[in-house]
Amino acid sequence: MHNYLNKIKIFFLAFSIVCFILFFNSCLKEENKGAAPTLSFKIDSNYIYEDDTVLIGKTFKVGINATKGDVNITNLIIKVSHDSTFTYLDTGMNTASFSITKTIIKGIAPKETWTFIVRDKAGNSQTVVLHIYSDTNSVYGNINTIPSIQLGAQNNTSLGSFLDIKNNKVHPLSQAYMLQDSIEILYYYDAIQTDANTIASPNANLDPSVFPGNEGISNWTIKNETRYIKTNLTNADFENCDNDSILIANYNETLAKRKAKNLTTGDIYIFRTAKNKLGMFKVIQVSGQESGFIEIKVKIQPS
Amino acid sequence: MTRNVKPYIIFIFFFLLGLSAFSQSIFKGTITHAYTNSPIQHAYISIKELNVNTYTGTNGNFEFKDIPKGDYHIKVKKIGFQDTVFSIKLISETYIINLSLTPGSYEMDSVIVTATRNEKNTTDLPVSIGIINRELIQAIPAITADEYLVYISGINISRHFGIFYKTGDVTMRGLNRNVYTLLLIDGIPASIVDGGAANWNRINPENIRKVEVIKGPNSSLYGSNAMGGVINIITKKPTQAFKGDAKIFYGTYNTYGGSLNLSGSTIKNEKGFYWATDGFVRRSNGYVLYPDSLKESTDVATYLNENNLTLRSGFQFNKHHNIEMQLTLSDNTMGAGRKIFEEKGNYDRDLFYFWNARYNGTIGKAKIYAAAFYKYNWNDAQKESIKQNGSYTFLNTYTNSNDKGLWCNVSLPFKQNHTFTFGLDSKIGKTTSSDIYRTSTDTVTYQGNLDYYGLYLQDDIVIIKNKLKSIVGVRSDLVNFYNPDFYIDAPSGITSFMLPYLTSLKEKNWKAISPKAGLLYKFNDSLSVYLNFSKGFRSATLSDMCKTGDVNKGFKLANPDLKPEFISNIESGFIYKYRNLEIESTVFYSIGKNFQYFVGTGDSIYTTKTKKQPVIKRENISRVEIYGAEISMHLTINSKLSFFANYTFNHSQIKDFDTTIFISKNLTDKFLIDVPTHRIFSGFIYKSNLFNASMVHKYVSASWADDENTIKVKGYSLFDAKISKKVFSDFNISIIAENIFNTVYLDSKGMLPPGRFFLASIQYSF
Repeated sequence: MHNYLNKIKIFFLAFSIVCFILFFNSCLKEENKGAAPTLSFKIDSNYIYEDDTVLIGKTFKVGINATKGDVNITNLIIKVSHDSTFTYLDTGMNTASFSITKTIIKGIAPKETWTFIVRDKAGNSQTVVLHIYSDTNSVYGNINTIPSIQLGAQNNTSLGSFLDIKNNKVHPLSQAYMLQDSIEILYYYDAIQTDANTIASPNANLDPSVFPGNEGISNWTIKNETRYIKTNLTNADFENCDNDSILIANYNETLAKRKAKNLTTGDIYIFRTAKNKLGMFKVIQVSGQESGFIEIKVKIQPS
Repeated sequence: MTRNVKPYIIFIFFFLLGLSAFSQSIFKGTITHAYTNSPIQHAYISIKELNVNTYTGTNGNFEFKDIPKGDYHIKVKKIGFQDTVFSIKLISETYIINLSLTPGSYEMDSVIVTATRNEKNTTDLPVSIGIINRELIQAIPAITADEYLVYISGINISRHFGIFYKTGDVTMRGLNRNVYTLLLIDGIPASIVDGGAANWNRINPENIRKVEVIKGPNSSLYGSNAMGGVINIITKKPTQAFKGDAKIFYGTYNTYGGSLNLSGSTIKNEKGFYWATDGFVRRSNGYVLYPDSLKESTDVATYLNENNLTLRSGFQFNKHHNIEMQLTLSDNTMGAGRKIFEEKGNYDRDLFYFWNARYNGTIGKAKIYAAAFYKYNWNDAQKESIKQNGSYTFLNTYTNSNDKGLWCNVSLPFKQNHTFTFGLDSKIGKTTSSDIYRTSTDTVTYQGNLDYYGLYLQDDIVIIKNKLKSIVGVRSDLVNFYNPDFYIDAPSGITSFMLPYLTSLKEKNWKAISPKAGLLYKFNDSLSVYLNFSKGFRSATLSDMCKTGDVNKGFKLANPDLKPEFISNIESGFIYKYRNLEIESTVFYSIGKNFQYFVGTGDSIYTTKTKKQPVIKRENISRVEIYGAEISMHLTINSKLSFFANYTFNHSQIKDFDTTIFISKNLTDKFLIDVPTHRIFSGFIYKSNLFNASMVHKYVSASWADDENTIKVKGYSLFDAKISKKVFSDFNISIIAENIFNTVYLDSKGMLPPGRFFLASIQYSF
């Protein structure tokens, strides 16, 4: 019995020492930077993947493929440089690989340098660059004018809030839900974040309480995104505009936002729809809050 | 015939008298403390066969006269020490013993060092103290070192998440932040210079010999951070040639681990070498912090991975001189309960290296303590989040701190009535912290240096011997803040909004004078009363002075003009000891000045595209009034059973909050958050040859969760228990159950505690 107890004691002690050493060994290990991610342009007939020339105002597609090195990719940055450098996209992620395609509208600058950067968790980065030149044969296109569109705020029972700009039709929520792919613009009154009278789009991350219910935007499967940029254009600039030159010259994707907020009479915004049509609107009148309405005049590239 | 009898009778009388004299002995001796060798007064000594007894005097001496020669059983008892029974055989005229008593009961030790940086009897101090000795640590059902403090009144232990709480939170005397409590380990500050809050998770309870607590401001001896009180953890000193304890444990949420303590000593005749190693590891899967009603898809169980190792060695030159060196290595990671993409999710990792060397010596009448230390702390806080707009953010905050210091204390008796204690402390610290965003190019960095220099002098005065004593002291501190910097590398949309708010940071220094005066009157050995006035202070942290960025309450601006906080305190109390009962009580009143609070600037800012936050700044608001009462009791019912209880009342309120200076809601008359009004802790300890058991009841009343006092956190009542048994002479099995009745209570952020928690352990001692 005594020998048996001694064996138990020795075993217990040895077991404790071994466990302790093993546990304590799993301590700090220095983090190596490791291999950098890889990044390349998507090569396809519909894509630009090397320096090229594009007509002003025309859209072109650029695609990139990225794969991690030793650790996941956590950051994608797209910058565009012409007169100045703008950040077109700066987004976080945590992924082993990804592919994205961007549809870009060629601006008026003679040369645009598009820089694509991916960074990983360890701080490694990889960069690819594309130079896009303006085609000297570029001509400006026509625009359509819609003299008056009235949109109701979310509780307006006589006017719809959702605009199918292509067909110039305004729909209430119930109809818009059935026509999600056509809806590119909407109007509401925001009391939650004090943005007040706001023109936005389904993908503008609206609070679900603005358009609630089963047909509410949070339950839509297709959410088009239109981006807006406020301009300093005068009423005369707006009225005298008869081609898309002013739209191309003034639209900057890097500065455009998903909402045109705190709208008042006379505001002029340039926008790009999800279908990549440039347009602009002028606020003719705006009235009320959740039951109010807005009237705008629109000029837009034809579909 | 008659004429001849008288002289014979006289002769016989004196003969018998002389004979009896030759048959009597003197039995005398000295009783001392087993650890400190200091004399123990008022120890009870009895001779069983003769039914006689006596008490030791102030020098620990006792004497029995006229004891007939023979065999006797002697019993020695003293509250706070193990009873000692032994036999003697009186055959000579004088029998002398020198006996050491080992602290063994659950009541207070008789000696404390922390109160005056010098060894003093606990009954000779005009200050509120608490002591937890090794026996109590083995008996109280607790897992982490701070949980044992339930035994002492006036201390609020906030460990809402149990072992899954990052650092532990110990506050005292109605104050609501753990930075107001100074934690020492063997007399050296445990926390880093910047911030001041200590990490209780690094301390292995198996290594603790004693915990000494001094309540109330003690900056007159210890400088910054000693506003609510000082807690000194004294580690075990090896006394045996070789000793070891190996322990493994397993508990709820797949919590497992072990500890290994080895030590040895070659000390003989007060000279020799000793060493010790103490290792402690713990792992756990953890639990989900949020109730189902608030839980999100990214909420996961917290986890922990703790590794701690301490190496110590020392040399005793002789009775008068000792040096010791210690190295502590700690690598602890705690999950934060959220995981989006990263395998480890959100976590906090703390790497800590702590080296110190200490000298204790006596030169002539002077007692000298000198210590040098170096601390390195590296912290990695990983955080992933998904904002309301769906954007993903992933960042690591790396904080790098290193401190070094020199402490020197001399205690010198002067004439018969004075003991002067004086010393010099210095702490030099630097912190650099960077938020490195993985999902953007931003790196936000702040850094700075904080140096502390303190000079103090204290006089311990005996006004009337054994009756009236006084302690007066003062300390002067100089705090130097320099090399401040705050900058953002490669700002993107994530941090560029901060750029207009960056201000130039200035170097500053502050002075603080912290006096103390106390008076103690001893009615007798059982009852003493005291009155005490003291001041404390705490300087601002580097983070508040240098760093601009998001906090829970809003967007915080750096405030390089932040001044130290001050507190003045007056208190009175008594200690009563009678046989097996000890009662201690204190009432106190404090005024806090320049307390630091977040106040609004009137601005608000979009910190993301959709999130608008108030712009706030930590400022020195005006006055805080705190008053309270504490009472604690310990009753030893018999050699097996003892009972303890303590009650604390706190009233902590903001006064004179000037809204003309601070654009914020008026907080005048609002109560400090996280300060419960009432706390009651009680328990019993049972010890027998068969098994040991203990149970503790904790009641904490409601407290406010927000500055405006609109949200109240409900009070709660918990029961913890422990049962242990010795088997096969060298093994000890124990089970601890915390929150036995699985009481559910939420903290101020709506998060859950771990619920009922079991931990079973087996320990082998050799």
